[in-house]
Amino acid sequence: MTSGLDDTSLPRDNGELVFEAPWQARALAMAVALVEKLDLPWDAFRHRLMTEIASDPQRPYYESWCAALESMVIDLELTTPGALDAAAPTEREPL
Amino acid sequence: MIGSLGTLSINGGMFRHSIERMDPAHYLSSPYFEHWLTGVTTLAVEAGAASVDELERRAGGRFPLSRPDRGLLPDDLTPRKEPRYAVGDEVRVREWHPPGHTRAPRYVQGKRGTIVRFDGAHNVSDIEAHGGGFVTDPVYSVRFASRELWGEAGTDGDVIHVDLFERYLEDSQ
Amino acid sequence: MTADHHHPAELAPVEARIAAIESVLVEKGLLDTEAVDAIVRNFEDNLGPMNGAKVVARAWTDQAYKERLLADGTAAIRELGFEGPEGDYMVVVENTPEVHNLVVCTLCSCYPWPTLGLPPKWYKAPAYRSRAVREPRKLLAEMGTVIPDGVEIRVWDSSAEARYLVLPMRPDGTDEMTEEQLAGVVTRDSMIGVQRL
Repeated sequence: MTSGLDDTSLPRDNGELVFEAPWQARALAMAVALVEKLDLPWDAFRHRLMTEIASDPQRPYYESWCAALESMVIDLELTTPGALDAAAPTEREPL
Repeated sequence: MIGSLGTLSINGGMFRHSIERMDPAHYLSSPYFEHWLTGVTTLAVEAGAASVDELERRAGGRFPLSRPDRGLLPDDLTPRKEPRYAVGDEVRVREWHPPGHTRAPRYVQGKRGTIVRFDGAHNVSDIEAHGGGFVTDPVYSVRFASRELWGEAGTDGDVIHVDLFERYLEDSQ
Repeated sequence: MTADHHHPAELAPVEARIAAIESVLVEKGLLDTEAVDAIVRNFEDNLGPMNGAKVVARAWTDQAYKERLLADGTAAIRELGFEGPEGDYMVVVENTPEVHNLVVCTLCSCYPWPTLGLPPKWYKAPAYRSRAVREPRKLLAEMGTVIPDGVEIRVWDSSAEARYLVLPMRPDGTDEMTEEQLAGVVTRDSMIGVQRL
């Protein structure tokens, strides 16, 4: 899943990784940046995160985060499922 | 019909929710503008500005609408700032299990607790999504005895505090 | 670490989805890549438990500060320069010989970012989130922290606006330490409440 990534490149916090993978950092930062840009309370995202977690409690945390982010951008009519499908990369960008 | 919507007060949350209420298969298989149209039309029908018959006649066929809003709103949508409860008051958390409302943790629903702190008034975000607009409500930290929450499985002396909106609470008898 | 172009690295669906959202929003001018990068860097460099440790060390050495901290956590923490998202409403809870505090967010993973950075993986896991409110004593023991029977455990579920920080008890043998040295003794886990110093 994270083949090709060297864990020592990721920042650490008390001996544990802050982010398990760069894409998690992006997902977090995007949610923060987007609510700031749209002048929404953090709660607008957080409420969706709680709903996604409740709908599938065993799903990995950042997958729920991604689902919440996606539902937010679609519901706010910032994009569509089709546009996201079209924009999805098939390989990882070189770092 | 679209023009008449201007006379109904529909906020962004209600509109988003009308799209959220679309049948998932319909949502995923339809283009963007159809989501908009379905949401708008559903709200119009629910507000009485159009009827399903009329729509289907004009469309020349079926016109699927979003599913009914099953989110149960609390009785009272009045925004409140002044706290009803004081530190030390005994309260009970309402029994309330609507889908989509996740701010009141289920494990305290129906349980009795004591107010330990008042945190001011804040927006109840789940009300906005279900058509109630932004509503402010006082927030409290409520202390529950472990035994009250878990019965025999609880531990004497241990307590759990949960932060709750006033509308989730009622007087304890 | 570059992807070998002859063998492209397969992306997990969620990773691809996140990249898609970013690229679409950047294209529409709703996200600025540099702003996102800056937020990531802020989390990596500026936000973390070293901040909370300074708050604790100050409280241990300055009684007046400690009283302000317990009365209005947000203002007292802001005095040391720590504030921002997920730190707008801080409540500091003090451990004593009679009371041990434990923090959890049962609904998602709310955590005081300015003072503690991002939560560890176990804090976000369903097991911690459900057991912290149901059987805190047993959970703590499994995590290596035994709370004696006579000590009351107070669990705080961050289900609304408040974010909690535990003020641990100052360990024995630290009387000669400077405030800076004391900050070095305070761990993230002690400020969540799963550890005693």
